[in-house]
Amino acid sequence: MTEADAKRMVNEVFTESFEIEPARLVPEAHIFNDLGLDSLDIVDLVVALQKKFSVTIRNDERVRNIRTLGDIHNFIIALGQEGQLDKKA
Amino acid sequence: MIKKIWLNFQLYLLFFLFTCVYTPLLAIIVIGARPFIGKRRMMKLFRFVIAFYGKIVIRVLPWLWVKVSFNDREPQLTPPYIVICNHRAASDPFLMAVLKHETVQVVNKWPLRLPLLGLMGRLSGCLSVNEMPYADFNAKVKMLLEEGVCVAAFPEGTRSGSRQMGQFHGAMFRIAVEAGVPVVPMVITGNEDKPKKGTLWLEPGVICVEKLPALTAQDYHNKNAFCFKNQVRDIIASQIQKVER
Repeated sequence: MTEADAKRMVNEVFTESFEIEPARLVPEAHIFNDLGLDSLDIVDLVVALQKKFSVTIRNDERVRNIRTLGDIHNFIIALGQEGQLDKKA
Repeated sequence: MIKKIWLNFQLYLLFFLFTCVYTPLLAIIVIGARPFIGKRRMMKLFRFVIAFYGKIVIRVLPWLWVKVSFNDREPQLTPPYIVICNHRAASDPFLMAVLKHETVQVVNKWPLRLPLLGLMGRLSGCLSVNEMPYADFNAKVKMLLEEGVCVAAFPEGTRSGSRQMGQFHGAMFRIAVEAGVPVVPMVITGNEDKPKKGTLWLEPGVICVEKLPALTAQDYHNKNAFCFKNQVRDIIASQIQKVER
């Protein structure tokens, strides 16, 4: 999976699960302040990302440091580089 | 300016005196009625007298210079339902007194720590969303709805203090989707300076409260809580824009 694929698939999670317009999905967008998610939505986001990428991330400490959409892109790219993502994803 | 100082002084003096007189009366009514009625009717009575207190505070005490206009676009709506409001100022909880049905408010921690008012809020069952786990909050709101009590919430979580509206928290929308109850968007405009955030200073003017038509379970059955909350936020934002343009 290329970095561009990872970013596209993360953005798809936001458009499909949260109906957020693609134009708002810029890497600097803060997931709470700009995209409007709250702590309960984060649970749904983690579930949706796990499903999309066939990976378990809920216990990954790095999830706690995520603030922006760019942080999620980087996190998923890092998982790919570590070989944790399902090859089918 | 001197007139405004006088009006503010007059209002707070009346507010203080009225609260000091009404609170013991409230206690007498409640304690006197307790042996004769069950807990459920007791709470209903208690919430009614508190709503009456709120009506006096918003309609009578400031009548010389702050008017409250209320427009109910769906007066035939029957409880239970969830009321979702924008939140600009500390006067918002008092404005919930315009609602004609028994209502419990969801509030932040600090209003429940105020002397007398906080006690009244706690006794009437106000829910402090930040002082309990979400599962407990969810169960309490659902129990109120099952009892036929409406629940009013300010999902921005804090006063904006301006005409800007903050992002919404989704807890009430999750509960609405699970319980399938109507959700009523309510728009409050004109009170961003009544009082201005961080002060007690009130400016004269008109506060407009508009209760919009409810969104029923049929309207949002195909939406998740996140999308539903944004739909309600958009409805409120759009109405604010119409009123204030």
